[in-house]
Amino acid sequence: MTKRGDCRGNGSKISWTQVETGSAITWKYPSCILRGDNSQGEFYSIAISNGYQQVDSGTKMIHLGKNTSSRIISKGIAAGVSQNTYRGQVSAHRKATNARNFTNCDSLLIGDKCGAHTTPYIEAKNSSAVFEHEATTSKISDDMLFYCRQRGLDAEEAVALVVNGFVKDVLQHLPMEFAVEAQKLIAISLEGSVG
Amino acid sequence: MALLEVKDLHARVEEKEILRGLNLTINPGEVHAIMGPNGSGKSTLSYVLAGKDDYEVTGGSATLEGEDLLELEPDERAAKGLFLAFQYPIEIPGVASMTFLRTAVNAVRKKRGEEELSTPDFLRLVREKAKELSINQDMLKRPVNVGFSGGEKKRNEILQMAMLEPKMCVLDETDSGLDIDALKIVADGVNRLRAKNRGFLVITHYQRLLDHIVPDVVHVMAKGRIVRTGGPELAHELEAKGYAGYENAA
Amino acid sequence: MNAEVKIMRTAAEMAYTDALSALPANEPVRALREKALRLFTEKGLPHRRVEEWKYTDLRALIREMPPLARGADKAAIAEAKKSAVLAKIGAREITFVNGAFVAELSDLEAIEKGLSIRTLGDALKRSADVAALLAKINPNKYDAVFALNTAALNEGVVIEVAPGAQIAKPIHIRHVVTGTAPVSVFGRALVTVGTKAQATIVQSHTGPDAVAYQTNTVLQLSLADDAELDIVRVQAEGDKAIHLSMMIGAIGEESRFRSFALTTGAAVSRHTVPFAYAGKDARALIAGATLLRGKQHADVTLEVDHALPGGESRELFKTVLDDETRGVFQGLIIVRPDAQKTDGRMMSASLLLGENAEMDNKPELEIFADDVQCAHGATTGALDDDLMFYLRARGIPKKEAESLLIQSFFGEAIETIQNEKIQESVMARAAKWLGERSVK
Repeated sequence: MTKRGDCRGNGSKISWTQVETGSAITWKYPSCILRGDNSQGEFYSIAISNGYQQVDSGTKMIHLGKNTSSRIISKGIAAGVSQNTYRGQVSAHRKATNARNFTNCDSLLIGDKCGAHTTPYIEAKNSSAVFEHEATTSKISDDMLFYCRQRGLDAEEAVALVVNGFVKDVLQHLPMEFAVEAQKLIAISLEGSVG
Repeated sequence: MALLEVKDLHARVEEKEILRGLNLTINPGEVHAIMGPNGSGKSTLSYVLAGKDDYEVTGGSATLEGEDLLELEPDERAAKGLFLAFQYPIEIPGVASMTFLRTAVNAVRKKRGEEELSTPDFLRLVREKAKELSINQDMLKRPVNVGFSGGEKKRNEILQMAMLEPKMCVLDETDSGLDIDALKIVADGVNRLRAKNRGFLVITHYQRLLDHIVPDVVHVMAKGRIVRTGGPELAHELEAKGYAGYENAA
Repeated sequence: MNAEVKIMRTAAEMAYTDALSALPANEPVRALREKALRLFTEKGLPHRRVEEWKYTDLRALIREMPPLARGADKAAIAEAKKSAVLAKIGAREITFVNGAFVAELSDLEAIEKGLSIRTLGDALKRSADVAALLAKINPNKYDAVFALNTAALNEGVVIEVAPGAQIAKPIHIRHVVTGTAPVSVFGRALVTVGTKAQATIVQSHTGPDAVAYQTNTVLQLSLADDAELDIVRVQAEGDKAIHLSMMIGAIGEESRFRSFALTTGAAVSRHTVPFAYAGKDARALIAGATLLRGKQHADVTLEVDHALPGGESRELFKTVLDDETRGVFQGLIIVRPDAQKTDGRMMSASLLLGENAEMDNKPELEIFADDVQCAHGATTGALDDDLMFYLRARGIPKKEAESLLIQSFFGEAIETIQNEKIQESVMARAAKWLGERSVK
């Protein structure tokens, strides 16, 4: 599935927020073309893979206009024997003065048979562009889980709580009702991920 | 019936035997202290009681109100009323302290067959308990222990203790990293929770915490066993003479 | 989508095949060379549809192949004598001029106990083990540039450090190109460091400006358990040169490796580093600074492969792009299923000074083990206006203020060089580059 948003007007803004807990194989790349001056693009994504799923998600931020800015927050969670991939492209074209991008792309691994992959393409063709990209991959912390369980949460509740903390930056960009649904979805999609 | 009963407990971590036949009985209402040199197995005891992975029990038993603790999952032990105040409370990014507290309180109440607290009741309770521990509301809005000072972390532990209404509280080196003022606040918090149906096990290296949380019984632990038991005066003796005599006692 | 599209071979590709197949058979490596040449002929020069070469399209950048260099005559040696890169670091120098070993510019006297230095040509004649070592790397494993280098295997250097030997004096492999006619130069360096042994190796590349020569060198490194090696590389080729280089590393258990690469030369350069952890608990630091002006294009591509547990890797690259230059950084950290407790951190920071400069970053993580800590970061930006203003408000002229900020930017990478003399010398070269900058 590919969606594309085009910010043509000056000062327009487009924001994608997605929670992907998907089907067996998922590819998802909504993109933003920041054509209008002062336009803004945002991409907030949670991608969860469990079982034998392969989730491939990411975005494109194409900066064409002046003073455009974009922000990408991507949280990938891989459990079971799944593979979770982020692919993203951020580019500032020759005439896109003062383009700004911040990308944060974190992966959390639950279990020792899953994989997380991060492949960003960051292309600055204008010297006034300021791009910052950071990505981390780490496993869910045993200490955190034990701490939660000592306070009475069972194994799955503990995982769900820690995962919810991990994805919080994205969840807070969802409308309230949807965020609640998303939290439930996360809990369901991680069922059976801890043994 | 004893509240906590530990009999001939043996446990190891990664092939290394740390607890080597530990016996301990704590009755409701009692405060016991375990003191001992570094490496004597004090923290291991707290982790074994709380059920941390990698801590393998190789012999003996531990019961809470007669019920076998060692077979239970960590959260089931918490629901039964065992509370461990961690020496190094864990930071959980992204999870607000308030959310964490409510999730824990309701999980425990559910397992105890009690009704979940309504949001207003919960908030009222937290506010009341937090005030006693000089914890301000801003701190509870921050993610669990993230960016907390040493004192804030330990006060947060005691707040959780107060909220979860445990029967048996284990305090692992709660005094470490605290200045004297923070120590007083934490100790006052603990003292307020002292009750005739509740037991405490205070694990500490130094006697100073025991000036504030006065124990009924003091044990000396060395090399994975309790090697001496006495009254509060034993703590003072240890402070004066050190652990030199105990390093090889076991 | 794997349909192979047959592309017409370019004039340059055909010239490579012709020139290299006409080389005299060097018997110990003949089979390997033939295999590599077949492979190159099939693949051709890498182009932008080859993912690893997305930003450096050699098929478009290399239009022709200059004739193979014919070694060093007196004039070439005299010219090479004048070239002095990192001359004052107290190193033992081994000099290749236009690909040929030059004894009078090399110091093979009083070699330390436990150290062996031979020319590749010599070593191939005398011992079968060197040919075996070369054949250990299947040309198929890497790209067409490596195949090209293997197809041209002839000369180079073999450096071996015996187990336990501590070689304090740095060894400096100099590659000098001379003359006014464009040539193609190939070279291979083999370095093996034995168990608990330690050495420091410097590699430099220089040549004349305004000559469109090409160099292709491969440095093949192997560290045994508990070995320690420092590599410092200075690429200061002439301004019309095309420079292709690889550093292939494999490091053993608990070994410690550090490398630094300064890139200021060549019209087009690509430095590829395939780096493998062959033993557990090994540590590696791969760092570099790239300073470009005019229309230079420089590409640094790393692939750090953790296959065993407990490895630690640190990558730190600083790129300064003036005028209409283009910088490329691609860095991949792979953590395979058995590589638990891997700790990998990669950082690429770039400073865009020229209005039409371009930086392409592709940092990648491929993680198959769960108990790991990996992170990468990439930043692109211009000089900080507030800092510039502060410095200038204190009376510092624009150029000096810029120089101060740029130096502090790349200095962090240069400071990773352990040997003080080498660090000073590299810093001086970088400072010279700054001094030559024209400020708009």
